[in-house]
Amino acid sequence: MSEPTHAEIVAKIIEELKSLNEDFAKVELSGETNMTTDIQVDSLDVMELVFSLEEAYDASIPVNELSNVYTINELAALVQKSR
Amino acid sequence: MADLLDKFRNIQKVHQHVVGLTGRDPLGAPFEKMLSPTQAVIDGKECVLLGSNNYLGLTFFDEAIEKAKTALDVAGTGTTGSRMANGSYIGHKALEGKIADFYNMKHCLLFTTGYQANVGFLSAIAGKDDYIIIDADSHASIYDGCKLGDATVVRFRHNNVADLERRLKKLPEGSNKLVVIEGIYSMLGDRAPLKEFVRVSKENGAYVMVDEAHSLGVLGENGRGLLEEAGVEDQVDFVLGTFSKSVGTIGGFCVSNHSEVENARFLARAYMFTASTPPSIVASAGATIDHIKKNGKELMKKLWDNTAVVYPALKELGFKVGPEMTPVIGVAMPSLEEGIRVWNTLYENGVYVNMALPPAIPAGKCLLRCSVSAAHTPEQLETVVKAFTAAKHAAEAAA
Ligand SMILES: Cc1ncc(COP(=O)(O)O)c(C=O)c1O
Repeated sequence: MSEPTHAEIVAKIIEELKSLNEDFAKVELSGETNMTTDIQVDSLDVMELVFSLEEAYDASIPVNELSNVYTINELAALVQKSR
Repeated sequence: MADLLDKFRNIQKVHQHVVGLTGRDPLGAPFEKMLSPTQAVIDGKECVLLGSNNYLGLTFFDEAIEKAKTALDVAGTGTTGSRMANGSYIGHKALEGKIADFYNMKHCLLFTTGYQANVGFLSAIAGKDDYIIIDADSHASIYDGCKLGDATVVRFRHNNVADLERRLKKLPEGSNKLVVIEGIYSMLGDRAPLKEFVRVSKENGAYVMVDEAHSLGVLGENGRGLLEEAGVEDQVDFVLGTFSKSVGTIGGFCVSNHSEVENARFLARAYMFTASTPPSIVASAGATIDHIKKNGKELMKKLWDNTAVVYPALKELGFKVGPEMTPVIGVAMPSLEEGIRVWNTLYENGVYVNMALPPAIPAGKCLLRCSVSAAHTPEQLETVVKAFTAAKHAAEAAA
């Protein structure tokens, strides 16, 4: 698989979030969206989201690093780093 | 800026909503009188206990009570400090020997609870450049142990051997790795595919720890848990366990054949900085372990016979139970409101089950968490099945 771009991963995160929770499907999401304050993604949704991303991009993201992630952009960067 | 206490206020709102639905509090029901290991008066009503984790029904085991009473007379009500500071009582050492013996292992460290065993051991064993690889559905004490230590924590999909293998292969060559698995998972009651997990872990140079909290006295011919059932006792490095379920009292332990673990006593903060197990608890745990050693097979047969009544009945009624028949029966509810209603109908029909809400439960809104006991009588099981039938009819009438 070729290296996914940052923009591709951001788009994938948005798609996954919208399919995870119908509330997220109703709002405008972007790379700058803060997943804790703008939309309340709970810990179980985060886990599901991260699993989907890890499988899509053959990544393995340490749990410890997730605590420093707030925005969709930050999560996309972490996925890229953890491949 | 949110006020510091807003966190509590938000929880209070949810709690009030829960109580408001039926006028009863499933999270705070008062147990007024224990009538037996499986029967109690709860908020004025006599109920069958179907959520107690009292798998072998030994909370009123007479020898355990006698020995605890003697220990109270001889050694007092508590140790008033940790073993590092106040020293080890002879009873602590003897109990460690007994548990090591039970597992045919060489070393045992006693902790004050199973929660502390996980928090203490995991944070002590894995340091800065090490990796802990855990199942996503791990118990909170495993997550907390990981959080307290400095290791990098990797999480794999629940019971998914291929996902564990994929992740192990991504870790740096030659790095220290510890894979953490549970025997029976506490909420859904499914077992880990332990033999496969052990194989993949060993092939990739990882140590393996198994938390047998819900499988001690439940699985394996002699009650030594999934380890024994799966035939991997010689390959698992560390076994974590608790006295708070089948042993009917309180306390935690870690057993191993690695002599180095003895030194965790000087590293595990949850061992060093908390008071040790009181003598009466040590005495009752010891008596009950002896009893399980001697009579475990018979008790486990009753437990599994009873399980074979409850699990299929709930499934037949159309309740969404876990994927495997074990004494831990998690009944998934479609919503919080429906969960509370079913809980309430069960209570009104004389059955008490535990209600679990996120984040305690994997992938769900609300789980009625049931557990079967060897001490349930045929009449009690009949009450249980009738109560679930009533709950089903009530749900159908409401729909
Ligand atoms: C898997 C698991 N580990 C550890 C524990 C903690 O046990 P204890 O009650 O001894 O603190 C529990 C109990 O809830 C558990 O389910």
